[in-house]
Amino acid sequence: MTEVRLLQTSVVAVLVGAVVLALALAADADETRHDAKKPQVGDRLAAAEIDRLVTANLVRKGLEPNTRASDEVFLRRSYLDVVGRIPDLAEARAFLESSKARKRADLLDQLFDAPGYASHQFNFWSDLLRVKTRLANRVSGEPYIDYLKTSISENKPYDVMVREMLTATGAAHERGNGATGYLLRDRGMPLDNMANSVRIFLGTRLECAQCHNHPTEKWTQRQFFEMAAFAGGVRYANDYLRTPEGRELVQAGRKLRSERRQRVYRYFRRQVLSAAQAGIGGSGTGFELLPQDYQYDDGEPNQPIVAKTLYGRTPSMDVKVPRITPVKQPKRLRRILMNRGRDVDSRAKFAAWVTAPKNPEFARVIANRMWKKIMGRGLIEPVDDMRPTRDSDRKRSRSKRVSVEVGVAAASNPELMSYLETLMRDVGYDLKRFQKILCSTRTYQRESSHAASDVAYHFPGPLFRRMTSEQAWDSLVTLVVPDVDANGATTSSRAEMVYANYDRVVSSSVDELLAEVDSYFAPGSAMEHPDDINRKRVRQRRNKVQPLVRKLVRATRRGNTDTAAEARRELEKLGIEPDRVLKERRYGRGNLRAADLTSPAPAGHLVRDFGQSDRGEIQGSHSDPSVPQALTLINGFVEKEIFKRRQGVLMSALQKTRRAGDKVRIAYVAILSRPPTDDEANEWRTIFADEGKNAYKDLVWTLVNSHEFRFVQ
Amino acid sequence: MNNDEILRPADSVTRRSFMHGAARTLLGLGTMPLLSRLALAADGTAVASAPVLGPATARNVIYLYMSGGMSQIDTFDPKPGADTQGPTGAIGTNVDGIQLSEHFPLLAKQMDKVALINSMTSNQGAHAQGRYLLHTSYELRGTIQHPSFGAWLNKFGGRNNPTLPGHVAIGGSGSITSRGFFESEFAPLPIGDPTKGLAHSQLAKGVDDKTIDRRLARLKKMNAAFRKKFNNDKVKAYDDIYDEAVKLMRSSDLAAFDISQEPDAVRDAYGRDRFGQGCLLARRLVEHDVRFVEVVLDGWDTHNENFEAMEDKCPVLDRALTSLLVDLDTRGLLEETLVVVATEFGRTPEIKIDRNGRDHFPKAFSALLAGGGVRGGMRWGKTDPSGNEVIDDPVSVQDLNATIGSALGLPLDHTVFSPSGRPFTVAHKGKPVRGIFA
Amino acid sequence: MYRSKKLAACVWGAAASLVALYAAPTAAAEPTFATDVWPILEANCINCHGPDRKDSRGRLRKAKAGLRLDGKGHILAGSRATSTVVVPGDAAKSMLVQLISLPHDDEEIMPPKGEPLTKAQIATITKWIDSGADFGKWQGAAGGKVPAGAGAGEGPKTSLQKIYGEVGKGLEPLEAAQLQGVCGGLARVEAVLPGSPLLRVSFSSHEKEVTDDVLRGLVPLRGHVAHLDLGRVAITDKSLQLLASMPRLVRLDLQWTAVSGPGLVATLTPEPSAALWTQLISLNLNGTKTNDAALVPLQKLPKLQHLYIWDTPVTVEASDALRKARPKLRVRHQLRLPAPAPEGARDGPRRRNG
Repeated sequence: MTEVRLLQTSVVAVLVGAVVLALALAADADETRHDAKKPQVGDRLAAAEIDRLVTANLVRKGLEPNTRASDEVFLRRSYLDVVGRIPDLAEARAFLESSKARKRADLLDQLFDAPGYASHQFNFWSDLLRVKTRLANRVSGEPYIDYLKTSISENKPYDVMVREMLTATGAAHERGNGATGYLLRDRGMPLDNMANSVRIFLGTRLECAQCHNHPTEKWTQRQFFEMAAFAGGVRYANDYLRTPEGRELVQAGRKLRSERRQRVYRYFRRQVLSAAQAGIGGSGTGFELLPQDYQYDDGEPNQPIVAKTLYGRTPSMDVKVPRITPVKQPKRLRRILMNRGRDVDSRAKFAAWVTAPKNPEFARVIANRMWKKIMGRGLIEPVDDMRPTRDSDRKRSRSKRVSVEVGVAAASNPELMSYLETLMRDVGYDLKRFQKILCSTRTYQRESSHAASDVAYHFPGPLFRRMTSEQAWDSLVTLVVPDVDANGATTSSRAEMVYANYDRVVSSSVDELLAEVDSYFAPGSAMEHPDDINRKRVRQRRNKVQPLVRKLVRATRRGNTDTAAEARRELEKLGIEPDRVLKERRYGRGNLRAADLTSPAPAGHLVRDFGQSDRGEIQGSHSDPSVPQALTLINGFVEKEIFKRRQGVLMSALQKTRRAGDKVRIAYVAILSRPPTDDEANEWRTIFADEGKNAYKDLVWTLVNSHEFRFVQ
Repeated sequence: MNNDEILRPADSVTRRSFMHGAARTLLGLGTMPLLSRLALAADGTAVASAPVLGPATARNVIYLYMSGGMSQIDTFDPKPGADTQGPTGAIGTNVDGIQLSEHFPLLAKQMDKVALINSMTSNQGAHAQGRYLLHTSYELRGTIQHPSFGAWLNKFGGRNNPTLPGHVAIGGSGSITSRGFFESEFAPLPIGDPTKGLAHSQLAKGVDDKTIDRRLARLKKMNAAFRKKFNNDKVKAYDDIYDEAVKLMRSSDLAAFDISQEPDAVRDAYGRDRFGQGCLLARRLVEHDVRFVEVVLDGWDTHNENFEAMEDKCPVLDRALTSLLVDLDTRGLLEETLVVVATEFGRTPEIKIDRNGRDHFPKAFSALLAGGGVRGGMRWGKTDPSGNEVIDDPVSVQDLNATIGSALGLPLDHTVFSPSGRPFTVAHKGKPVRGIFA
Repeated sequence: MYRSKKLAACVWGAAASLVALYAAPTAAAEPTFATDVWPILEANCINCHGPDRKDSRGRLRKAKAGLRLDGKGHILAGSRATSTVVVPGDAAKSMLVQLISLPHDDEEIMPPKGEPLTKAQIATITKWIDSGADFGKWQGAAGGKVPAGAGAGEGPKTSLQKIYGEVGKGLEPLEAAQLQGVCGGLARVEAVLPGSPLLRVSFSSHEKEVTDDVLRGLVPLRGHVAHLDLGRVAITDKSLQLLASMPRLVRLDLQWTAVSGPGLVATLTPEPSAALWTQLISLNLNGTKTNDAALVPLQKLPKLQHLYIWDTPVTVEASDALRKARPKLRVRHQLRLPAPAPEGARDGPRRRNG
C-alpha cells in the first residue's frame, strides 16, 4: 500500500509530466527508433504512468498489487518474455551474482538488443500470420519468413510492416519481396484474406458477414464486400509470365506437355514456371462483385460495388466500374468483369486507412496484443474481437455508441487501454521500445498471480502462465546448445536458395533453362526421375562430406591444426561451413531455435506436442497439457538429447565438478534459474551420496519435468 | 411412465438430475434397483457416475473429419447433368438409387453399410467457426471453450479401457478437439504421425521402471511444494497428465498404438498415406476399447483447382474409409462402432470459373454415418437438382451431433454447468435423426 | 421421458396447489401470475417466445427454442429441449429462473437483447414459482402439447431395444451386491441397456488374466448375461459348458480364444433339440480353431444373424454351404480389403495430409 500512496502523491507530477512525456516520446520516435540503447527519459515516465493506471484501477477494485518479484523470478521471466528462452548457466550466474543497483534495467537493455529477441518475436508473428514454410502449392514461404525476420531484426515500425504486407506486389521468390507472402498465404481467397486482415490488424471479426447478414452481428454482407473491394482484381501471380520472356517460358512448358514428357514438364513447372510466376499482381481495382446468391435488398447478385471502409472516411479513388448488362451469363460475366478492372491503387488506400493515426483500432489492437504478450492477458479479450460485435456489447447496447468508446469501454481498465493506445502511436509503432516500456514497469516486475480465463484480471502482477510451446522447446535446447541464438544466420540460407533459383530463371534464356532441365533427363542418364536425382545427389554429397567431417573432428581433437585446416578448406569448397557441421555433430542437428525449424514444425515434434499452431488458424497455438508432452519429457528429450550430448551446455558443466553440492547448484541454476534452497541442497546431497554417479541424472530429469520448469512465475 | 427413465441413475453433478432424483423419491420409486448404474470397474467401484440415459446402439466412434470443407457435389451428393456438377462424374453403387462421385469406386461397393445425410446445413461459413460448431455444437466464443464431442462421450459414458485414454485425436492440430471446460482427463490424446504411434512411450535405454518410480516420487514431492504456492487448475492438470502418461506407458494395451504390427497387405489396403494409416490406427484403438477416435484429413479447402484436388483427395478417403468399414465389419466391430465422416461445411455448387474452384457453402452439404446401429443402404434428406438448397429433412450440425449422441445413449437434455455456472448440453438442443437407425 | 417429467410436474403441481390451497389466507404477499408475472413475461419474453408471426421482411418467425410463454399449457410443456422451464415449487430448478439470473455478460442469459430483468422482477418470478407456480384462472393461448423427438429415450424403439426387451421379459434383476467384484473384480458388468435386467460382461485390459477358472465367477450371473465379450481372454473349450448354460445370450464374442471346432461341436451337438443359445444373434469366432464341422450345429441356432469366422480353419466350401443354407445369416469369412493402389497410378496421393 505504501507504493499506492506514493503513486497517488505523485499524480500531479505525473500529470504535468504527461505533456512533457508525449512530447519527449514523439521526439524520440523520430530520432531513436532504431536505437534502443539510448536512455530515454520518456520511457521511464511512460512506465510510471502505466503503473499509476494499473494501481489506480486496483485501488478502485479494492485489490492490492503483488509484491516485487525476486531477482530469480525476474531473470527467468524476462529472458522468456524477451528472448524466448531461459537464461543459460553463465547468463543466469552473471545476473544473479551482480550487485549493481540498475541490474534489472541493464538486463532489459541487453536482452532487447540480443539476437534472441528477433527469434522470439518471429514465433509470435508466425502464430498470428499463420506463416508456413510452404505457403501454397509450389510457392515457397521462405522469402516471407526471411522478410519477417529481417523486419523484426531491423525493428521496422509495425505500421510500416503492415503497409508493406498489404500492398506488396511482384514476384514472391525475388529477393526483398517476401511481403507478398501475406496475401499468398490465402492464395485464391481474397475474401478470407480481407476478413483475416481486419481481424488481425483491427481486432474486428467480419468473417461471418462473408456469407450472410448475421442477426446478431453488426456488419452486413454488403459491408463485407465493400471492404473486399479494396483488394478487387488482385491476382495470385506476378506478371512475369505476361512479359515476352515469360511468354517464351510458358510456350516452352506447353511444348513439353504436348510432347507428353510429363516428368520433365513437372520438373520444369516446379523449378522454372512456378518460381517465375509465384507472386501477387494488381494494385486493386477498388470494386468487387456481390456474390451470385446475394439475397438482400441493398444490392443485386453480381452487382459490382465500390470499395468503402467499414467506418471512418473512405479514401477517394477513381474507381472505374464496368457497366453491367442484365444478368444472363453470370459466370462469363464475372470473368469479363474481373479482368477488365482498372488498377486504381485501392490496396494502398486500404493500407493507408488501416494504419492511419486516426484509425483508433489499429493502435489499440497492437497495443493490446503487446500487453497480452508481456503481461499474459489482453486488457480487452478476445484480442481479435474488440469491436462492438462482442457478446456483451452487442446484447446490451441498443443505443448506437461511437465505436471508439465501446471498444475502450470493453477493456478491463479503460484508462490504461486508452493510454497504451496513445503510447503506441507516440513511440511510432516501435514494438521493441513499447515492449521494453512494459517490461520496465513495476507491474511487470511484481510476482505473478493466476486467474481463470473467465474471471476478470486486474494485473496485480503479470499473469501466471505456462511457457509457450516455442519457449519450452527453446529453453530445452538452451540446456544443450551453447550460444543457441546464433543458429538463425545459417537458416536464412534456405531463403537464399529460393532467391538464387529465381534469379537464375529470370536471367537465363529459355534455351539455357531447357538445356539444364534436359540434362537431368538425358536418355541413358541414371537421373531420369527427379526423386532419384535428389536421392542420388544427397548420397553423393554425403559420401564426400562424411569422411571430411570425420577427418576434421579427429584432427581438431588431436590438435592437428594442419590437417584440420585442410579438412576445413575442402568442406568449404563443397559449400559447407565447417563450424556449423561441427556444432551439429556435437549438439544435434535439429536442436535449433523454434524460429529456425520449419513452420510449422512437423507433427509429433516436441514443439508441436507443446501446442505450436499448425498454422491453420490465426493464433492457433495453445498451452494445454497433453500426454505426449509428459511422455516426451519422461522418456525423450532429457534422456536422448540432454544426457546423450555429453558436450552439451549442462552436461559439460556438470562434468567439470566432482562435488555433489556444486552439481546440484549448477543443475538448479541452469534449469530453474535459481540456486537450490538449503533443504533442497541437503536432500539432493544425501541422494548423491546414496546413489553415486548417476544421481545427477535423477536430478536433471526431475527438474526438467517439474512444474517450476514449464510454468512462468 | 417410461421404464428407462425411472431407472436412470442419479448424477450428483448436475442440478437437473438432482431434480430427477427428487421426483423419484417423491413418487416412491427411490427403492427400485438402479441397474443401469451398475457399470462396475475392475475394483468394484462404479465407473460412470454420469447418467446413461438412452439405449445405446453404439459404443465407440471413429470420427473422420474432413478439414477445410469437403465439396459435397464431388463426393457424396453428385448432381449428374446439372451445370454445377463440373467435370466430376457420378457412379452407381451397390444400393439402388444411391450414387456417389466417380472418385469413390471402392466405397460404392459398401454402400449397404452406409447412411448418407445429404441435407446437412449450417450457418457457419468460416473455417474456425464451422470447425468449432461441428466439434462442440456451440458457436465459437471468446470467453469459453466448449468441450468437443469425444470429451462429452467420456464425461458421460466413462472409459471402457481404464489404462488407455478415452479420446484420441490423430492428425490435425490440438486445437480442433478439446476438453473444453471439462477436467483434464477428458482431453484428447493427440497423435501427430500415426506411423510413429505413441512416441516416447517406451523407457529410454538404460532406464528401468524402478528408476522411473524413484524419479516420479521425487518429482511429486517437488511439484507438491510448487502447488502450495500456485494451486490452480492448470498446474493440477499437469499432475493428472503425468499420472495418465505413466499409466499409459505401463498399459498392457500399449501395442494398440503400434500399427507396424499390422500385416503389410492391410497397411497397403488402407493407403500408405497419413490418413489411411490413421484410420488403421483408429481401428486398433477401438479394438482396445478406446471410445472416441478422430482422424483428420486436411486439404479440402479447394477455392482453387477444385477438380484437380478432388482427384488427389477423394481416393485417399475412398480407400481408407472403405478399408475401415470392411475391416471393422469382418472383425465384428462395426456392430458397435459408429463411423462418421463429417466436414465443417460444403462447397458452392457454383464453380468459380476464374480459378476453377468452389468456395465455402454452409447451406447444403453432406455427411456419412455407418455402423453402430445405423441402418445401411440409405440416404437421408435431399438437395435440389442444382445442389443449392436442402429440400427435404434438413439436418443441422447440432442435429448430427445429437444423432451421434443418441446412438451412444448420451442424455441429450442433461444440462452440465461450466465452472462459471453457464448451462450446456451435449448437442446443444439438436434433434437426433432417428430414421437412420435400425 | 417427457411423459414422465410431465407426470412429475403434474404431481408437483398438484401437491403445490394443495399447499397453495391450505396456505391461501396467509399468502396475500405471494405474486399472482396474471397481475405480477405475466406483465414481465409479456414485456420481455413474448416477442421471441410467443405465437408464430411474420417479421418485417415477411419471413415466418417461430417461437425460439420451441418455447412459448404465452399460455399455461405452453409454459408447463417447456421448450424443445427441456420440460423444466418452470418447475412448480422449485425456482432453482426452473430453467426460466436459471437463465434470467445468469451474469449479464453471459451469452445464454435471457432476454438475450435489451436490458436484463431487474432484481425485483427476478424475485417476483422466483417467488411465484417457489410458491407453486399457480396460474390462477389465467390460461393464455391454448395448446402446449408435449413436444416429441427430443431426448435420447424418446422415439421409436431401436431393434436392439426390442430384442433385449423380449429376451429380458419377466426377468428379475439381480441384487447390486451380486454384481460386485465379479470374477475377482476383473469383469466389467453393466446393464445391456439402461433399466434392463440383462447384463453385459467384458474384461477390457485384463484379457490375459481371465482363465477358465476365473470365468467360473460368472455362474451366479448366467441367467442374466446377454452380451458376453470374451475376445482374446485366456479361456479354452472348458468354458463352453458354462457358456452353454447362459440361455439369454444375444451376443457372444469369443475371438482369438482357444475355443475350438471340436469343442463347439461337443457343446452344441449332444442335444440339438435343447434350447441352447436360442436367443443368440451375433457370434464372433474370428481367430479361433473353429472348423467346418462346427458350422453344422451353428447353422441350427435359430436367431443367429451374424457369424464371424475369419481367420479360422473353416473352408470356403463350408462357409458357402452355410450361406446357402441360411441366406439371411451374414457370414464373415474372409477379409476382403481393397487391393492396394497400383504403383504409380497417379502422382501418388501426395503425402501432405494429416
